[in-house]
Amino acid sequence: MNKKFIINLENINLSISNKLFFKNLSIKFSNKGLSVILGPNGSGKTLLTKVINGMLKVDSGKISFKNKRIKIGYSPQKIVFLRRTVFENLLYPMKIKRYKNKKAIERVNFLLNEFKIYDKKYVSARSLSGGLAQYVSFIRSIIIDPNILILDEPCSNLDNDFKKKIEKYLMKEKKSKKIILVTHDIFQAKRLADEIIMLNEGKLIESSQKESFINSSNHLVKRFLCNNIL
Amino acid sequence: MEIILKSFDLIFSFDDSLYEIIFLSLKVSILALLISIFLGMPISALLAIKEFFFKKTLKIFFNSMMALPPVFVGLFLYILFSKSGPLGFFEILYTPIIMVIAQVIIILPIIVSITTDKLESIFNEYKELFHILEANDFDKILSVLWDARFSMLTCIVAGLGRALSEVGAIIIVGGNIIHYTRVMTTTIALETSRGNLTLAMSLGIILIFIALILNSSALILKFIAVKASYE
Repeated sequence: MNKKFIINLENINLSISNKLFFKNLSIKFSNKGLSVILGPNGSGKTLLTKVINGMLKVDSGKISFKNKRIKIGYSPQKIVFLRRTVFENLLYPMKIKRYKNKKAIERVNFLLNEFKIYDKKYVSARSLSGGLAQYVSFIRSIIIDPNILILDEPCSNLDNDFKKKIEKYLMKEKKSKKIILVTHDIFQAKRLADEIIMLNEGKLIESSQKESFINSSNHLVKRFLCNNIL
Repeated sequence: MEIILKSFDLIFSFDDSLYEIIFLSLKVSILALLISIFLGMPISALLAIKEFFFKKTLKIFFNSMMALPPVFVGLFLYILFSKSGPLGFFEILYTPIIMVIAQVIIILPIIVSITTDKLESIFNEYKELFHILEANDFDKILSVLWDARFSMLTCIVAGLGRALSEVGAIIIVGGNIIHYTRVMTTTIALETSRGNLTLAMSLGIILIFIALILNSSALILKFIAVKASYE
């Protein structure tokens, strides 16, 4: 595999209940930086994230990673919490990954402080509001310090304060991690992205650096940008 | 009405032989319940989490076993453990041990069937999370069992209720021996046939009282859990 790319999807075919979603889809994700996946509803953005983290098995094609020992952090669109407190939900991934108890507790406390939600530590995670649940789900995805972070619309319900905190974190961490962000927010994509991938009806429309994407001559890209800016 | 008043008198007289029967009933039923939980939980967890060839058959088996007639369980154990039976050398017929075994056979399918459904629904909810975290089967089982603890209270109460009210099997295998295998339900059956309705009624009232306490405790705990949004 080319060492420039951390994830390489080659000729992916995926069908669910006899409906074809991806046909010979090939995408490469560069080693570091933040890749934004854009596309209209139903274009296959979430499916793509699920294919990358192995939650969906493809019919054919090859998904390869640069290293064998890769830690993936994932914040899904549909958030599921254990029937436990925020603290226990954040501790859980570290327990599963067999981190030492003391180290795990320290890390959870550190992130609760860092993201200014220490007061929610002992609140039941399932009673959180939509925005706060999304915020905690984001923190859970970074708790094991993954080298690939996949975020599926992590800011769609967040207020500006929380959104800024997440964006600040992403701007800092994209220098050392691979971050894949699914969003509908073109302005957020412009603020954060290094490269932008656009999907439409399961097909790759464009994959390029941010500047090239914004100036793309592809009519689908132009239409998408116009529709979402205006 | 007179019988009921006399029954209350008997209950509050703290008669030794009455309370001996109550304690033996509780001892046998609680022990049977604990053994059923110990055996049933791992079976339920495996049925909920793992995919294997006979999974559906096994689920149908446990569901069907819920309707198993207790007298048949009693008869089956009697044949098995009577002096001339294949397991007669254990010499446990007419002892509290075989009463516990009979109750385990009756309660286990209830525990397994009801808890499997609960665990399955929680597991399906957590499936994605387990996948992302690459949790192994042991972690999955522990997590699902722990998070289902409040929902399972109702199953446990149902199991204990069934054990306490059981009469058909334990009267056959226990023999209703005074000071040894006589429990509440078998005493009620015996004393009613003898015409001693006061003792029978006292035990009946206590049985209802225990059932009320059990169900209320389960409901209160569930209410607390829902309030705290752990459910």
